[in-house]
Amino acid sequence: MVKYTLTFFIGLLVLFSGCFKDIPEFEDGYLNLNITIRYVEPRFGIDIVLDSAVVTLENADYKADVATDTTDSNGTVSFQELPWSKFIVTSDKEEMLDLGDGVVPVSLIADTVFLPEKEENVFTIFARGPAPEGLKINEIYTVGPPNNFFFFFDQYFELYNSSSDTAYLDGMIFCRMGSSLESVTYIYQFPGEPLIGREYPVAPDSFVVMAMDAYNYRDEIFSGLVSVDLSTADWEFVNAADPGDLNNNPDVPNIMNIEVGHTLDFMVGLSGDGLILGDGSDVNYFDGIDIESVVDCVEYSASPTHIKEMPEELDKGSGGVGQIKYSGSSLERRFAGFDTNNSTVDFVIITAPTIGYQH
Amino acid sequence: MRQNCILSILTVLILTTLSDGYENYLYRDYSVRNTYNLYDLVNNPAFLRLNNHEDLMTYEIRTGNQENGYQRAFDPERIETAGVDIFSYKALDEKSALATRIVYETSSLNNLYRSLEKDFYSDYFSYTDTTTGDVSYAGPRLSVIYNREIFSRLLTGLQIDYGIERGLKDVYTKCESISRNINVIWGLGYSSYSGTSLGASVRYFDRQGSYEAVKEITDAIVNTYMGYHIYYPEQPRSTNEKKVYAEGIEIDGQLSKKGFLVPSLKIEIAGGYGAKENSINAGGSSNPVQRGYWIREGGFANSILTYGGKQSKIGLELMAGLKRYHDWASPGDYDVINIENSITDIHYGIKTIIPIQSISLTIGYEAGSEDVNYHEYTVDYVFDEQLSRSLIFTDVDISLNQVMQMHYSVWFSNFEPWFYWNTSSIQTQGIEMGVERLFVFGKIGVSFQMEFWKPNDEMGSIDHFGIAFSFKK
Repeated sequence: MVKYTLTFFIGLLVLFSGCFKDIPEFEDGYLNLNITIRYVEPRFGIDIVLDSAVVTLENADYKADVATDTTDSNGTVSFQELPWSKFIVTSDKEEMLDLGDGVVPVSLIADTVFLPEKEENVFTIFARGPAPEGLKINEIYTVGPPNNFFFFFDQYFELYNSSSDTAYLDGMIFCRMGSSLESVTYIYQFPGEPLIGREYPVAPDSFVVMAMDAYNYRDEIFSGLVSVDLSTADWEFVNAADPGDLNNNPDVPNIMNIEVGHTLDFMVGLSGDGLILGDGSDVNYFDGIDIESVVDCVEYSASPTHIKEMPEELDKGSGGVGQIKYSGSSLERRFAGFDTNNSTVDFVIITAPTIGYQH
Repeated sequence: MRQNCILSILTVLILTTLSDGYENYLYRDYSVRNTYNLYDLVNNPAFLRLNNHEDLMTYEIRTGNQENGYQRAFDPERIETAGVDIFSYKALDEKSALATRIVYETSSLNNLYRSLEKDFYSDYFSYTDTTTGDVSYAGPRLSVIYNREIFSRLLTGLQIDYGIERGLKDVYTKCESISRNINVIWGLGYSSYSGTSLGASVRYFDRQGSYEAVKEITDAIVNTYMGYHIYYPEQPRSTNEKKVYAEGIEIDGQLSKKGFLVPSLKIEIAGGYGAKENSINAGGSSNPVQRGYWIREGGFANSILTYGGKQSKIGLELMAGLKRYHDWASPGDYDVINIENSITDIHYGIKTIIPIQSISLTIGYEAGSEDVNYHEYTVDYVFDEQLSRSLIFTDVDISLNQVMQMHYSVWFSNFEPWFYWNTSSIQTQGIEMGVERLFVFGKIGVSFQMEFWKPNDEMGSIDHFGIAFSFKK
């Protein structure tokens, strides 16, 4: 009897133990990355490795220190004994290159998002030149100030002219996008003739602030404690069909809604959306926006598991992961006009908005 | 006989409190201070009836206060507890018995720094936010034990424990936690006329925990710790949820032999082996993902040698035991080990019971060492230490007269704690006083306890005070 009982109990334990998961083969902290940074430009016969380039690893999973190292003469850098986690790898370097107009300094940028699958990882990141200079969506303030009544109406957007030439806003469009480039949620347009108008210039290295409403929210609503003063914004969004859009500031020019039947002001998602600045050559929003007419595109989302909506040709990633609603924080490019067409890399969360200047 | 009965059942109460609370611990700790009968040696319900022969009903109200003048990072500054405990034992007939217990406990953790857990340090994947607040916990716990003799001297028993506890933080994230715990033990036992008892039991336990943290403003950011040195920042959202699923199984065996080698010598041997799996999911209510899981597996053995036992003679008890288990944890996203922990715990103790007229004096000493090899791989942290501990105690039971008994206990101990205590050792000292009087309607008792923990070379101390009133009939 005792023998049978013991056999039964041991069998029961073995049965249940088999239900548990098997111990993984690898220990954490033994992830090794061997990264080579290369730049290839076949049109000009350039195929080089970037030596002495600073490579940065930012842990996208855990709250951990940023790892930084410099490539050797083979353009390679090695990171040893890292935790198994997702990393944002970035590198930039200025190289003297001949791109047809003689040898000139060219800023090269390399970036990728690395997901671990094995212990030893050897891979190459191909650098690219920066996106063409010009008007950039430089700052996006959407999350609202700290408050407990869901106030977010102090949203604004900032443009920056990163080129050495004057840019013109005439007839340009600014859109809030849906789930693709074919889906336009809001479309607002600057006054003037697209492409050829010269009435609304933006000087090189200058900022343009576009407010949902050009109003001093900080003093008028929050007694100077939080929020922003947008009464001196350069532009404000106005929708003639929006009866609630009462804060039309007579001193600030308007960016007008051109979508028939749309009755809301230009308000965007607090923690996620897609924005497009277009040259105005395509304003037929029914079939989306022609990709050739897009001057700049930014996708942002607070969610690390966000699924891309905008085309990767315009923006490879999305900025603002971890940004908190009603935190008073803002999303701004790392440097004024810094654009690699990858918002994951280009944008950083800053603790407070910087209206008309770079943090 | 009645006194023995009460004492043995009270031991049951104490052990049940320790092992079947809102967290089901896989292995119990033995101490030479306690007296173990056939039931509570491994909590085998088959032996309940052999230790208790008379019907009993006890009611207890208790309250406690603990001031954490010295604390770990995620401990509260003060803990207030209160509870009601009702226990009954009834022999249904000559062959079967039923014991039930109902407990309702409340606790308030004041100025709890960031932790959203009742005990941050009991899990490898603990939830935190960025605020300090008061957290209140409350809930009932029910236990039923049924015991029956199925053949001559062959016994079986079933024990079911079920508990629910709800916690609520008073500031944002206003985290609400609900914990549900079930513990089922089925046991078989054989007890011969010659004083040899043999038993085996199988235990299944299961716990589900749910946490819901909401956000109002920016400060309340939720994080999930992976061990004690690195955390996963949870995605800011209106509601963050964490769900814990834990289940395990344990088999235990026991052997007791009276008249071992010499007539007054009794030997008791207990052992067990088990495993427990914990799975932790976290995220938003619509898309929770596995944040991690961890498994504990191992066993224990304990032996007790008792000499004497009759009231007129000096009694002597020796205890020695070993506990060994291994934990490993893995994050949900990647199939790697991020935490590993191996524990080998050895303990031994001795106590002597000296009867002096109407006084029973117990003096004892026990010591042990815990060989810890704790490793966090993600941040490469190693805690490889042998932690020693020792305890000296004395218990005095005085029969003042036919109806009144008094009880005093004094103890001193010293132990080397884990790294998160941030001190090399902690000295404790405690005193307990109690009095119990027999009336025509039953026994009324009151006991008072104080215990002080003083860390070595550190300011502050942990001061615990408790008082309990009981009524037994």
